[in-house]
Order: sequence, then C-alpha cells, then structure tokens
Amino acid sequence: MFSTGLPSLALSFVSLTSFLVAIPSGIQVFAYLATLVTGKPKLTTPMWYVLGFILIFVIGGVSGVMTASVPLDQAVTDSYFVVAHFHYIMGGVALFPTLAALYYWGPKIWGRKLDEHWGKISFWLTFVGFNLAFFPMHILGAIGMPRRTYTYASHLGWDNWNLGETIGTFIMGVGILITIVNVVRSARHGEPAGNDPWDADTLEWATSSPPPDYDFETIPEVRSLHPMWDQPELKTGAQPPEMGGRPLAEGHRVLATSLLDAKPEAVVDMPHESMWPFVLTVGLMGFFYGALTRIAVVAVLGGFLSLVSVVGWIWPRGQTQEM
Amino acid sequence: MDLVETGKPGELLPNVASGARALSWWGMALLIATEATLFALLIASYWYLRFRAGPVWPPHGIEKPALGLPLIMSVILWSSSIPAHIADRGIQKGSQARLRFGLAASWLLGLTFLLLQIIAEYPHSLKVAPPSQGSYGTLFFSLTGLHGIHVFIGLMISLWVQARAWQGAFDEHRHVTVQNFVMYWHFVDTVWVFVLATIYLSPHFI
Repeated sequence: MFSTGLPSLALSFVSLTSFLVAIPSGIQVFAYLATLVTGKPKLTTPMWYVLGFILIFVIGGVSGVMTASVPLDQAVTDSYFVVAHFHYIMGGVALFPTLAALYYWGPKIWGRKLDEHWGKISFWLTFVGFNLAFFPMHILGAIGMPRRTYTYASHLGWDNWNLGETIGTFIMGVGILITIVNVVRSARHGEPAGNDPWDADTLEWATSSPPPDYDFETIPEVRSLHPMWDQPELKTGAQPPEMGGRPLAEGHRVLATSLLDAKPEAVVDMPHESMWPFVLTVGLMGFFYGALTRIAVVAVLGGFLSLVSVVGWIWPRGQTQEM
Repeated sequence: MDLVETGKPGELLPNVASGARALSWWGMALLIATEATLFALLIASYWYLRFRAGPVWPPHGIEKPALGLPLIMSVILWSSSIPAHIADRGIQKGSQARLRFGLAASWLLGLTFLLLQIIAEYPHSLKVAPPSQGSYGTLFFSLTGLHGIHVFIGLMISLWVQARAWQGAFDEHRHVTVQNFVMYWHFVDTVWVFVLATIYLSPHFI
C-alpha cells in the first residue's frame, strides 16, 4: 500500500488505520490469556492447537505492527517479510483454530473422539513445521529476497534459510496428514464420545453426539455462564418444563426475549423451508451474467425471475408472515 | 392479540413480535448498515478525487451543478418521511386510516422526487458532466444513481406494504413489516442529506 504512489496524506491515514488494528487484536489476545488464566485448562489436543494459535497470532501481529509503519514497510514491501507476516496471520487465525475446532467439535459432529496420542503428535509436527517453514521468511525478507521468487543465484546467502523452509513444509505436511488419517480412522473406530467428552460448560454438550435435527427436546433456560457445570438437569438435553425448558410444540418456533436479561417476551414463528431463495439466486445470477456479458435477454429474464421470486418468497402464508 | 403456551407451566406469551424483538427488524437494520457503508465509500471516493484534482473543482471547465431543482427535490423527498412516520405511529395505535394515508402520501412524494430526477435533473446533468468522460461525471451519476435506485426499491417495497395494508394484514400488534419499511425509507432520506451536501452543495462552498 505504501509503495503505490499515494500522496502522503493518504499514507498517514492508511498507516493510522493499520496501527489501529493492533488495539482490537491486542484486546483479543489478552481475552484469550485471561480465559486461560482464570480457568483450569486441560492440555488436550484442542488446547495445544489453541496455544499454538495464540503464539503464532502474536508473532504475526507484531510483524503486522511493523509493516504498519511507513518507512519499514517501504523497505520490506514485496519481500518475503510480507509473506512471513500474512502466513503467520492466516496460520494464526485460520489453520490452527480450525484444527483445534476439528479435534474439539469433531466428536460432537460424528459421535466419536479423535485419537489423543496421534493428535498430540500431529500438533507438534504441524507447529514445529509451520514455524520452521515460515519464520525464516522474516529474515529472508529483511536481507532482500523478493516475494514470488521461484529460483535465484546461489551466492546470495539465501540458500540455508530456504532449505530450512522446505524441510519445515514437509514436517508440517506430515503433521496435517496425520490429522487427516486420524479423522478418517476415528470417525469409524474411535472411542464413542457420549454427550460430553470434555466435561465442558457450554450448551452444545447437553445434547447427544451427533445431535438430533431439533438439537434440544426443550429450549433450555440458562441461569449461568457455565450452564453445563451449574445446571445438572441439562445433561440429557431435555430440561423439564418446570425448570424452564420450553417445548414450543405447536410449530417451528423460537422464543423472543429482552436483550439484556433474556426475559421471554414473545413466541416467534420461524420461516419454513422454501425454494424461493434458490430461485432468487438463479435469477440474480442470470441478471448479473447478462449485464456483464451484455446479453440483454438474459439480464431481463434474470431480473424478472428475481422480482417474481422475491414476491413468491414474501407471499403471505398464514400467520408465519408477520415474523 | 393471540397468546400461546410455551410449555412452561402457566406461561402464555404473545405469538407476535415487533421492533427489535422481530427477526426481520434485524435483517433490515443490517441491510441499512451495509448500504450505508456503500454510500460512505462512494462519498469517500468523491472527496479523495476532489482533493487530488487540485484547486479547481469540478475539473476540465465543467460548470458547478445547479442548485435550484435539487433543493426543491430535497424538500419533497425529506417531507415524505413525515407521512411515513405518521403511518408507523398510526398502526402502532391501530389506526388503519393513518397507515394507509401515510404510506400513500410518502409514496407519492418519493415518486415525485424520482420523476423530477429522471425527467428534469438528469438530462441537464448528462449534458454538463457525461459519466463517460471523466471521474467527476462518474462520481456524480454513481452517487445520485445509487440513491435513485434505493428510492425506486423503496417505492416497490412500499407498494407491497400498501397492498398488505389494504388487505388489513396489520394491526396494533402485527406491524413489523411497516416498521421495517419506514426504517428503510428514513434511511433513504437521511442518506440524501450526505449525497446532496457532497454532490450539489460542496462545489459551491469548498
């Protein structure tokens, strides 16, 4: 951004907004840490992936603050430093939490736990491989290796760092391969998860694994920040009506409550399945395809289909209309 | 008002929600947030290019936009928010007459604005600042055109709401559709304050 020839007023604005990103990101990281410190974390595979995520995200965040500064960014722009930064961010916010979530909620999805032993091995391979593959890119960028370089002369002093990166990539690949095999194997032969394999505190663990289509037999009334720990009646996913569980048995309905104290105020009918949203997307696709390719017939037909499907979608059907 | 059992012993709740307790209200609020962002980005592009272009604006000898007609159009558009508000308040008290009158009046005022824009204002501006010949014309027609499309969509939504109103679909409990439409209409009128200030007023004062 800073090397695109913007005027300096725009540069300082972009720099300011880039620096401001550090504030919510920092708050976020301290929130994770506070959660860990005030809780009693168990070092299971998902927790290891979360710890790895926090460390990687912090490293990516620090190099993000560095690239928010105009002079430093103008020096490292289009170099491997930037590649290192965004891989740490993408690794931080996408890869590691996704793997943590896979190990944590996988049992809820298919009803069987993943193998812990191989899970921990996969974490360490993925984590060590990730850092070996991407950390040297900071150094390579700082000593001048441009990004999108597919080959280079051997006397530039980049060889060993790049060799390390290649080894790291393979280690990470093995780690992820182990996770894939673990998922495939455990989904069939893993230890049955039961409702709550983690002794966790949140509501998804109240119902069976995998959950039924309706999730809960009654919509539970929650009276605690840690409902599964403080309300033992939730353990079966069917809180009895005298304790607050509402069946709402007359239709496809949910409770509408007040925003702050969740006092029940109304019973709201939910929309039913409908083909019209799909027809609308087909119509919109035709409209924009026609507009882009300048085939007027397609655009007009698509636009007309869109209008028809909007009307069809909101056409009143009994009392579900006024939601 | 229909009361239904929730299944919790002795609990009866209304089977209708309006305002922030209704799902569709949040849909409209979020739609307004995204559309407001779209307008904010276009207005920011206008100001960015305006200050990049140097001291003379509009550039290339284009004359400043005439103010007379746009100001009359603005008064007509903004005044359409008053009957929309009357309709909203009316149906909350159960008045079908105020609902129907208010919606119809705001529809006619909105239509007048749109027709004036298409028939009287655009032919002049198209000659003065053609959108195909430079960023000024492009900005002019992107911003006012995007707003015009929002007015047009608002008129379409209003037709639907009016048809439902004449069928008697709304009463003092069931009226979130009216609320959503009126919220959208106020948004379209509010955005015009910024479009007017940017496109028509700013070349005369900055």
